[in-house]
Amino acid sequence: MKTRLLSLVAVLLFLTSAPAPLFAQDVATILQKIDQVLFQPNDQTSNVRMVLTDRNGNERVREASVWQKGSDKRLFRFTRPASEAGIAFLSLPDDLMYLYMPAFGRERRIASHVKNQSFAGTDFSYEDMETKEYARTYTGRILREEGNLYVLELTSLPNIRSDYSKMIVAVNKQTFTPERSESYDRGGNLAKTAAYTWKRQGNYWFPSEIFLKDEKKGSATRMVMFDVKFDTNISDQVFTLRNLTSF
Amino acid sequence: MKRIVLFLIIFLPFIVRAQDQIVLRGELNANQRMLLNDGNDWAWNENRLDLALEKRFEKTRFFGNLWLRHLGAPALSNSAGLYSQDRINPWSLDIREAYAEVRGFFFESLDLKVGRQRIAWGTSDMLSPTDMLNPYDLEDILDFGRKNGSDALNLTWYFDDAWSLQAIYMPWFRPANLPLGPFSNVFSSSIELSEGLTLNEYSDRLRMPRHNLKEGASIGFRMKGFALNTDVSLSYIYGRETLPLVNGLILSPAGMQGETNVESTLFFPRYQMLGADLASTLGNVGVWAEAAVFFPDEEVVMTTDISQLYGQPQGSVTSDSLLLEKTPYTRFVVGADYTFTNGVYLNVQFMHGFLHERGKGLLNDYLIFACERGILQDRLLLRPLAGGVVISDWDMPKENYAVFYTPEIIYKGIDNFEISLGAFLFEGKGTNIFAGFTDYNMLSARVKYNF
Repeated sequence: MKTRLLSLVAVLLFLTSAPAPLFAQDVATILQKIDQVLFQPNDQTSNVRMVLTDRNGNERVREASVWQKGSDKRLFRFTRPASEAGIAFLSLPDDLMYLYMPAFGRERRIASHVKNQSFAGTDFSYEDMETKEYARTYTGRILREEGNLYVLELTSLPNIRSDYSKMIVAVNKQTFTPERSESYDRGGNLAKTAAYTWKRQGNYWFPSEIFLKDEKKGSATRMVMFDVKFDTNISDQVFTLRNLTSF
Repeated sequence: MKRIVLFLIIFLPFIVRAQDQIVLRGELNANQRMLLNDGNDWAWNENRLDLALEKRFEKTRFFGNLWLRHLGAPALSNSAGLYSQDRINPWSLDIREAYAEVRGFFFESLDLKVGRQRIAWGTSDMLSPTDMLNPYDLEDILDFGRKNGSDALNLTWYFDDAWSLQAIYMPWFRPANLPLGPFSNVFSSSIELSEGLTLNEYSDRLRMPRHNLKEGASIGFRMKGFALNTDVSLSYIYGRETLPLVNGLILSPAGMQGETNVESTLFFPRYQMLGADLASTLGNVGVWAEAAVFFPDEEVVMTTDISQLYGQPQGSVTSDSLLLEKTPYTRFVVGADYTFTNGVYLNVQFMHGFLHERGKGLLNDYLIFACERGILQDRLLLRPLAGGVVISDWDMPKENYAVFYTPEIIYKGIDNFEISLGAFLFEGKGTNIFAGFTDYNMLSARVKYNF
């Protein structure tokens, strides 16, 4: 299984009526093709710059190094600003999450109640930052086609916990990369919108930039990925508490 | 010597720049507290430069952490002090940590960490009962859970990604440092003399363990792992209490009107500890629990010698009182945290036994809580409800309780800069530690800058 730092697409389903079987099958196929694109590499390392902009236009910057393997292992270690440097977040399968803060000298287990909370002060929530396969997370229907895009309405499968009630995702028909998305809260109100810029490196596509706007707060975060490397054979040891708390 | 050290620290950044790949981080911290008494005396004045230096190679790492501080106020009682820059402007240097770490030491599964280091055990927030290897740093008693680094040899064997066994050897005994400022006497017992006697002078003698393998060393082991969606660990320590106990009092006459001198003897008893802790989730709620069973090596009996008051040879008129039974006793913490959908974070812990409490039946109960919410993209952190409740006698709780309230507001609107305003408010009765703080309600202001 492969992986990719995208996952803002914490999409969810919202089927008020049963979808036509043909559409359901089409959506499933599209979701599988998205996964094939997103998780094509075995592993990935990158650096990430997140520019936070509040509703008054004030900006702050966060930078981190990211290691990712498969569709469910990710280590996120902040490098900037100095006040956040060294703080690390480890995400493992089965909703297992740990936070390491150098000042405390030990890891801290994080429960899933943080999923809807801001990740490091950005507009991304912990749920947005999760890696997850679309086909195993969502179901839905095709709302419409817009030129070169499929517009999907997605909701989480029953066994998946999410703080979004549904997502509207526009997917490129040729590359099967999500181009933009809308996330709706449990009350059905638009919570966040996102736009993606994709780049091709070798055989792989990756989201070189994600612009996420919190529609309620008026703030936004631009996440830019750089120094991206694929298939460097990252050891599983990277995604352990041993590594989280020392190296 | 101090000036040489200061010179080195000032030029450290330039030295560091000359070295490739050395990371230098730091924090400037100014912390001021003002009592809410009549005169609004200052309770705390600390200006701290916290420097962290790190160098990594492929399998090794060096880390050092220094505190350079101005702490307190000019301490002058005569004009001679005016000639001393150190007394006018008290400052100190503290090596908090300085260690080297090797991953895959001889074996791929073995990690070594040697030097002065913090060894943080347990799963509780701040006040972990199993976190006993490092001595308490009680200098700022309101900074709960602060610990000093210890010189230690630390080996960890990783059986797999989840399970590990850690072995610690600490050759040197290092006691806790006691609180400064208005709380300097919180761990001192009051001395009650017989009727007709008044305290003239008090002095004490501290019996430090010898710095050798038998008396000064401590060892610890911890097996840590993951099972059934739960992080678990079992731990063992053969160590020494880092807060001393009294085991002798000698009373001697100092005047004709009943004035009495008291001299006490203090020592650091040995103990063994068996600990266990876990952290897991119940639904969306984070939960943790931790317990430490302490096995005192010996009874601690305080012998009061009043021979000199009767004009008799020392040692012939004494009385004994039991301070610490040999019976095992248990400190424990259970806690939970949860974030509500509106972003309010709640953290609650129940604790049986504070850090200085020892002995079966002598531990108090504490409920500690914090409720906070970040707003404006976490630029502003509001902590309106934080504090705790102590009950030291459940039979008469109205006479044996304390409540402490520590609200805080933190502004983090500028990267690397943080300013906070808060209060420490205490109310209580009885002999519990927080009931003794009721005269020291205070406001606090703190500024922090990271680089």
